[in-house]
Amino acid sequence: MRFRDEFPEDCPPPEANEISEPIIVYRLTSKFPGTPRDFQSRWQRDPNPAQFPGARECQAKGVSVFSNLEDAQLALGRRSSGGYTVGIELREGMGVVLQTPSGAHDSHITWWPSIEIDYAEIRQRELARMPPQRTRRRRR
Amino acid sequence: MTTIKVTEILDYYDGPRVVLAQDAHGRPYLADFIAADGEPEQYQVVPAPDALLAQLRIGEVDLRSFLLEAGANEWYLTDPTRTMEPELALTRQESPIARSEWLPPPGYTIEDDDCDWEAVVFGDGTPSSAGTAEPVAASG
Repeated sequence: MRFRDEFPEDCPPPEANEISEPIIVYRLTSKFPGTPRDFQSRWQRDPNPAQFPGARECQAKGVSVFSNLEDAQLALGRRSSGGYTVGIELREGMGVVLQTPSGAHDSHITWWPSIEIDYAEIRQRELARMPPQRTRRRRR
Repeated sequence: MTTIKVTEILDYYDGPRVVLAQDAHGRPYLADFIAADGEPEQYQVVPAPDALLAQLRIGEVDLRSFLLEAGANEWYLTDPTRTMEPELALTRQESPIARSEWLPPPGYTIEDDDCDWEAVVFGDGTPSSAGTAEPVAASG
């Protein structure tokens, strides 16, 4: 399988699974329907290693999704920029996934999208939305 | 200026959200990712006393309470860098952390009992917790 990014050796990890059957996962997006940018890894949006202190490059180049809606809602509640929780259907050929539990989010999954994905064809369903929180200028 | 180096990621979504770190003297800190529209992404940082950290790790204390208690006397913001250095430089804040606009909502807990990467097995292709979210719309 070919991917959108150049990955380090052994990335995705050998224990990751190629998506072979439809699965439903949850992703936080800025809009509904989510835009292609909403489905990019943060690394793709801004390849700045300083944004990933302590993380491995392979994980940084993956996309975070959840298999549990409640975990997604929790994560949405923490976003000051607001946004949406959408259910998305990942199908055969869309990439490789690995369960990567993380603190508050046991159902966290890392998804490495394949290069063949047509983001416009990702089936989505809006499940929640949250308005942006008011923010003040940062005090120094 | 104090700098800290990340030792452990406690919470991850498209990047480390909550991390543990140490300064050059081995003093532990907890850093919580914050982002405000139009401003650099950074972390709010508090010292991480062992007893309180133990309570956070088992979910007895939520993240908001941890930050308020541990940061009552000192807390910091990180200075964003765009370098490969894994260290975060801290800038001490004079106002009380209780007035921070980036405190997480009450009830956001972190239990890091299982943060190893695991192969995910999807069985019939659909996580059981995802049954209520059949996608109905295609983006585009």
